Amino acid sequence: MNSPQSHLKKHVWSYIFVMPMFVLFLCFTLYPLLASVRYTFYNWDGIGIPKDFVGVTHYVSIAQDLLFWNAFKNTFIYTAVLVPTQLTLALGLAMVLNSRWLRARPVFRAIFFSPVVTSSAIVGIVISLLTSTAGHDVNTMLLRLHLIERPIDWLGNPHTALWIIIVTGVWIGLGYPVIYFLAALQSVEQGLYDAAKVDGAGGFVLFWHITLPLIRPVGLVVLLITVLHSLRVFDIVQVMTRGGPYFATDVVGTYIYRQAFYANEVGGSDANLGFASAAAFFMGLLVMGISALQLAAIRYTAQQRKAG
Amino acid sequence: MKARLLHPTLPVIVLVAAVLAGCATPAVVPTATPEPSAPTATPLPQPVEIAFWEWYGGAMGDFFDKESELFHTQCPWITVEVSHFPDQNAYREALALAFESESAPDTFVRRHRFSQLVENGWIQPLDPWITPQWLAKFPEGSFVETRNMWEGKVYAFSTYASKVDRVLFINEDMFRQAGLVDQGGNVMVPQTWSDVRAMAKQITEAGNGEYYGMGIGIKDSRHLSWWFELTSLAGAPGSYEIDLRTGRYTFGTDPAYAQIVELLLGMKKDGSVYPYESTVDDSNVYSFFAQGKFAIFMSGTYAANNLKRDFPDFQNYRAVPLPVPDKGRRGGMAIASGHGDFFMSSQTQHPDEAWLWLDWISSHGLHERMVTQGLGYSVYSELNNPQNIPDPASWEAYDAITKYVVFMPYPPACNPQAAQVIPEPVVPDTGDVLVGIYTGQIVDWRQALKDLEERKQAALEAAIQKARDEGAEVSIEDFIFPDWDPMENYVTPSQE
Repeated sequence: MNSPQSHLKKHVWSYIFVMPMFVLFLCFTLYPLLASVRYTFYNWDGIGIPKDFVGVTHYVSIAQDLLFWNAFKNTFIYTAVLVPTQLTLALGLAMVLNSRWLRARPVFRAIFFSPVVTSSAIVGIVISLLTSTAGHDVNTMLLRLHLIERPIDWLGNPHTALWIIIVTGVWIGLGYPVIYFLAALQSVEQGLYDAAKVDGAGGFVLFWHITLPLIRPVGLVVLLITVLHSLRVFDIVQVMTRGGPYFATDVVGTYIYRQAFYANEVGGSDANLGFASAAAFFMGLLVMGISALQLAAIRYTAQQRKAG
Repeated sequence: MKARLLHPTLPVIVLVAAVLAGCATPAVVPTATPEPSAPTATPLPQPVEIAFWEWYGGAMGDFFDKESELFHTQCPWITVEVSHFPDQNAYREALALAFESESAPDTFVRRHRFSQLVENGWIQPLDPWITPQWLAKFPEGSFVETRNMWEGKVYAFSTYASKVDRVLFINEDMFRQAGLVDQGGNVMVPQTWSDVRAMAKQITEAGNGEYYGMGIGIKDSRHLSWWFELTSLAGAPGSYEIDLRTGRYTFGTDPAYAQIVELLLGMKKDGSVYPYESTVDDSNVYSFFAQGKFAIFMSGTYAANNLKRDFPDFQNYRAVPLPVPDKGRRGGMAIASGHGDFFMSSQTQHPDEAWLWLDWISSHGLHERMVTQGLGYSVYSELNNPQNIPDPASWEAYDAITKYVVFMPYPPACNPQAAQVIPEPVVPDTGDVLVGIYTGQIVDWRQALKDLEERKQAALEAAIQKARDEGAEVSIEDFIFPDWDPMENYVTPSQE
């Protein structure tokens, strides 16, 4: 019989090696998470111990704050556009990288993965400067064609700023799904393609009936990760526009940052980390809800397919 | 069995132990300045090390390093360890954590509100050491309740000249190319708000698409709100935002604010503004200026230090005073008198030595070195003279930031409990609304200014009520000084 004691004794070194990471998780992930839940019920400037208990006032304020819902809307738009765009591009690139005819594949893999390891803040600064240099050349062309009367400030225009941020986000994060899809594609047996070709299947049929079904499990995981990652967008927005102009690119991340640190930067009244924590927790609940719906939809689809 | 278990893990254990040992390196001890030989036979006190934290960084940080070495030559038993924190937010948190863990520095530069320092018990008064002669060396109005005094005790002292560090930088070459020179061949400086718009337009036309008249940044909304500070020259509240003659915000009612909005929108409509406003903020505006993107921008005199550091070959620029309303100046750049930047920690184990270091910081010697090195202007106005500031551009900048300064009423100076009135920030704030107006996202800007006025007034009244609920005897009357003339100083009583 495998008693807990004998199980522990048999795998003691496994637990010992896992323990440091588990301790770090407790100290730097779980404890701050639980502590921040407590802070959501207080007005707290970050100094000393929270004393000003306000109950659920922050949650009510957030639910009634039009700026929060504006940020949520922008975050949702960012995610809704970025995810399908990025995953489609990633799958296409992965299929090209998986092609037998492509030479120097490691070089191309490194090139496509390099934005992932580049600091998002640096990328944001470079892109924002490019909008005034390369963007100036585009403006010059548009002015000559009389399509515009005044140069467009690409990041200062509420109609273009969010799209530039989305394009930047697609580019920065493209490497991860490419690698995941590449690994999934390499796990598909070549014999299946050969057999299908013998039966006369062409490119699209091979992709639709062999590739997609076999990489679907990995694709669903990549989809979930990409959605969750995009919902947490903050760094490129903060660096490129700080949520402006006039909240046109404000996302939940910048909204929370502003609640936590804006007052400090202004140098006037105190920051309210309690309110910021409540906003973060509120967003966390929304994300959990979206994830649960997503998983339910996936399971429902899978069940339907099995029943069919 | 044991050997088999230990053998594969032993290198890992050794590696982990090595890493942990590396983390336990002792703190770096600064190189001691060679002590001069003892001038007398009197034995020196026991050597003492005191900590000083500052967040200025850059040239000012280097200045304090050198001053600590100079101080050590005069007080050889005291070593001042200066810690630099270039990030102000990190400094705030580090200082708070230091006090929480009772490892606070002996002396430090303020980054929190003065009332916060007192209420948290982080600082101690300097009264045990100060003398009437020490107090007398400061100009009148330097010591103000709730600015650097609390309940009659002195906690800090004014260091810098009373100024509003906001100037226009102009590119003289572009002005000349646009024909903006007088009969004497001197570059014409924009004197009024209309001058700014007209000159920006003329320079833009001369630039023919290569450069523009004005550089404005909207990346950080606070910097756009600096333009509202011009309204104080029209007798409006300016940067303080509350009209202290009535106790009300007047964004939607005082015409000066509307005139500034019309100025900004007018320059944009003229095509006079560098069109990539979203790329520009106060941290990089001087860089675009030096690269010849535009001829005029608004910033502080610190931008000149940045220009000298990063673009030493670019010298054809000047810092000029802010322009006044077309109908003439009806107010000054209002500031509260008295301020405090350097404090003694309540946790210091060496208060006497900490006092000596603070006294050094308040000395004429340090201030003169600060002024001559172009690091700031001293509270001792006699030191801010052409001899100590030989560079004509720096002298002109000093004149620009001090010529319109007036001291405004400071409510907590009359009722210290008014310091407990801290309005919550409103969002969208002043700068946010201005950005929205500038980009066209807010169409009915007059209504938006009225709305801003009402929101801020509500925040002030809520803050007053909250202070009253917490026991403070304060009302809106504490923010009303109907006898104040914005063209004149309102002198706050100093410590006698």
